[in-house]
Amino acid sequence: MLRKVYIFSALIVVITILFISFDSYTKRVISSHERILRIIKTIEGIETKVDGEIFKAGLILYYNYDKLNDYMKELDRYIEMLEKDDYLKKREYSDILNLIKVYKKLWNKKKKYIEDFKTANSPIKNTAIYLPLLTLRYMQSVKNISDLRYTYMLAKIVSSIYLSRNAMDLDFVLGIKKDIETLKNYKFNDPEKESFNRTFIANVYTFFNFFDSYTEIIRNILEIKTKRTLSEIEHAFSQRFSDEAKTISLFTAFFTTTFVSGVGYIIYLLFRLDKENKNLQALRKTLEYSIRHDNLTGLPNRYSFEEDVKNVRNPFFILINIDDFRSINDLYGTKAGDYVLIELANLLRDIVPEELGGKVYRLGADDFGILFDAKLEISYEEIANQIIEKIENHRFIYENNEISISVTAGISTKQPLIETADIALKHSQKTRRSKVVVYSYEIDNKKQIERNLKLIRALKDAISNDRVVPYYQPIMNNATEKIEKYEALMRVIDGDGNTFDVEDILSIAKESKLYGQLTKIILHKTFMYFRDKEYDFSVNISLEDIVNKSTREYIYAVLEEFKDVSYRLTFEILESEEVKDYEEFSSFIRKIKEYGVKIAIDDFGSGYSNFSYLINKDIDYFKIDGSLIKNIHKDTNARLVVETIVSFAKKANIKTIAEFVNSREVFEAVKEIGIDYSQGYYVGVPVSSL
Amino acid sequence: MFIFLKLIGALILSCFSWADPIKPIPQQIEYDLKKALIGRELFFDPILSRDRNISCATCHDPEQGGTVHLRFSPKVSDDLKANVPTVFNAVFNFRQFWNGRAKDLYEQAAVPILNPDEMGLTKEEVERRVNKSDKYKKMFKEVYGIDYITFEHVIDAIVEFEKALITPNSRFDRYLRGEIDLTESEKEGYALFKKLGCITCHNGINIGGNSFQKFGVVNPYKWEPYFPDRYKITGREEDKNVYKVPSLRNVAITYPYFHDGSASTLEEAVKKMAYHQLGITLTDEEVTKIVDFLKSLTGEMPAILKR
Repeated sequence: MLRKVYIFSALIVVITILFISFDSYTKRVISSHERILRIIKTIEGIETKVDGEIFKAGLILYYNYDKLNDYMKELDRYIEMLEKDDYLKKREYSDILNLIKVYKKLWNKKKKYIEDFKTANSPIKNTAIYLPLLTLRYMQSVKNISDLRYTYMLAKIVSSIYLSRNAMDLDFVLGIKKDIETLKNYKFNDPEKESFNRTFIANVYTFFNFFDSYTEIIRNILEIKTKRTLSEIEHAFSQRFSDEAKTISLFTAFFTTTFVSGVGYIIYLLFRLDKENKNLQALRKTLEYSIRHDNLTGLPNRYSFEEDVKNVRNPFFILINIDDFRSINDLYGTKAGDYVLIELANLLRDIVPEELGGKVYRLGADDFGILFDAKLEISYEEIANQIIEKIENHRFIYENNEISISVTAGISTKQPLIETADIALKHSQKTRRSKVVVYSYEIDNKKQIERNLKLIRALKDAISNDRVVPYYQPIMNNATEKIEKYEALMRVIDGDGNTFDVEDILSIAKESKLYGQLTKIILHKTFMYFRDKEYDFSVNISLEDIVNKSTREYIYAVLEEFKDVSYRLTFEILESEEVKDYEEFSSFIRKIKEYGVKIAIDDFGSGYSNFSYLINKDIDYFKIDGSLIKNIHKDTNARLVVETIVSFAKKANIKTIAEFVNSREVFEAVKEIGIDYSQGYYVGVPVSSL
Repeated sequence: MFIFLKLIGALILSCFSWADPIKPIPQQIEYDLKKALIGRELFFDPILSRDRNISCATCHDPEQGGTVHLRFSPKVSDDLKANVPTVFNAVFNFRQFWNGRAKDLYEQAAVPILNPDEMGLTKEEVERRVNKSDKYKKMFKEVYGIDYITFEHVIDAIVEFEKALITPNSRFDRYLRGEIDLTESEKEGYALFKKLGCITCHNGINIGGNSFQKFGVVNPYKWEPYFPDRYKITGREEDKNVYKVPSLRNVAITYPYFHDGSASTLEEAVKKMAYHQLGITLTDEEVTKIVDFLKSLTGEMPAILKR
């Protein structure tokens, strides 16, 4: 439809342009027509004036020819204007131009007549007027008018001439021809009279001479068809113009009709377009709303949430999930479930404190979210707890059935909010320890995995670059207070020379099957280091090393290789490890005992242990857990436990080693209790070489 | 009887006389001064003649009333001899030349220049000569904005100058405007001028110059084939001795008179006119009065010549 509007608009523009150019053409035609008609009328008017002047020139004695001449020249100029008019030069006006030429020809003829008229008019007029004066002159000079007959004749002639001139009638003149003859033959004895008579007759003849042509000239002037030609021109031109005007009005009607109907159609199209546009707009609004809102509860949805989150500076997000929502559906039907969801939505709307700008969303089936832009001074965790409490205290009545629900919440301030809050929520559901869990990296497996992968890479890197090295911490005989042995402690150095946390490394190593490798490296390096030294030395191994065939075989191979040194080695095994395959374990112990290797239970007393049945046979040392030792000089309970262990060990003929002997006081206490060896910062820190 | 006739005469006269058969020359006329000044230069410049010995002013000498005090133009041919009409007030004539063969000054001005018997140049020669002149080149460039001067430009400038050659403020004009009174003799002369019918031909602003009239209406004037009459143009017998009525402006200083310069004084001219046109002999008193009137028609020197 819009395209139609464009097409029709273009059409209207074209028509308008055509119309404008046509209009200027029309204006030109009309103005040209007016101009030419005006010139024709002016010519007509001037010619009338010329005629009027001719009349005046004939009538008025003291006439001034200037005006007549001026009019004639003016008329010439107007004819020239017509001849030179571009509009008439068009082919279709050639007949008009021809008529104008005819008129010009006639006019030029008339001009000649007028000149002739002027030439004749002066003497005619002059004599007509002069004859009475001449007569008067005669009477004045003669004084005594004796000859009445002569005087009568003069008067007759004068009056006849006067009459004939004014009547333009030759008959009066012919009537006095005889009298003139009489006058001619008159005999005078007075020469003055004779002279007068001669002058008088000459003047009369002058009149006669000119009068003939004079009347003819005037007839010519009156009869010449200039004016008729002029009106012919006017008529023909007007006719031509009315033809042209018909075409013009036809075109105008066409343009106007096209224009008006075109504009009308466009208006109609625009009207329809507008209507459609409104419908579309309404539809778009609905769509937009439904895009942003949940259909069931009317709460803003996840899309809306994602939009809003962008504008929140310090997000504090609570994700609430209805515990075991599915059972509500199962128990009461999905309608009840929907009812609960709607009710919960309304409840959340009510209880979320408005003044804090909390906004409630429905993010999934039974997942609701509350988003705050956090302010520092407010405890949102408390708010979350309150909300949870309110929800759980709320009674949902559906068809007279009371449905109560419990919910779990995850809180997060870390992007992406929904995912992190969900992790917290899942954590809470899993652990069941708390209704509300705040997201942290610790509970985020994903983060852990990321960190682990990084560590594994670093560890692998360290292994391949020989950056796994043993450090040796001295162990002192409490009785002699001499260093008798060393414990090899693993250190993993990163590319920058920093040492990794051993706990981290070990847990990673265990999971990534790198542990065995570490054990192998440390074992071999330690052997290499201590083979030509006098000290005993111990190396930590785990049950996994024993279970792992490759490590086990390696251990055997190393022991075999350093057969002469092996008797100085003690394997430290953590008490906390659970022995799963006793057969395997026992055979390992047997095998190493063949090389004189001793066994120490590490961190003894830290937890449960199922070494008990082994104790009798193969255990050489108890390495009493550092947590029992480090405060032994003031913690009587710890001292009691340690004393028990020592007494038990002595009876079982097992030597004891105290860890974490970090001070003189601890050392004194340890010695006093009767522990055989001490290890710790008091004795010496781990070093890379002795 | 006498009184009766006199009454009739007076009645006729009063019926048909008109208030202003003669109009004064205006103080100013519309023309382009800058062009006219070039025209003035050309008007007095002999380069417009073949032998570079005469200019327009040779025959139309402002010092001699815009004409020359000779019977005939110094440059005449066997078949055309004419007294030189004055260039003063020529702009007011309805046509130019004795027989009016030029419809205006533009047509007239070119004729003597191109006439082999007069100045004897061709258009091309005129153009060659003026275009060779730095003075004219500069003047035309300034006023007309042209680099090449055509013959038409030359004529245009001369005509513009001729337009300026009007002689206002004659005693008679000032009398008509009511500024001064004429002497009794002059006034009576004017009355006679009207009463005798001179005014039927000598009327208008130029007191003549607005119609063709026959010389010798009542008593015929001798005719010569070289006369510059209408017959030369129309070939009609009745046009023999028909001339454009000459202007009577400055008539006192434009002697000799008539187309053939046959009257050397005003008195003679007036008497001849009375005889040939009216068939009467005027008394000396009447002649004197008419001449006195005619002398009052001498105007001021054209302003452009005083500059």
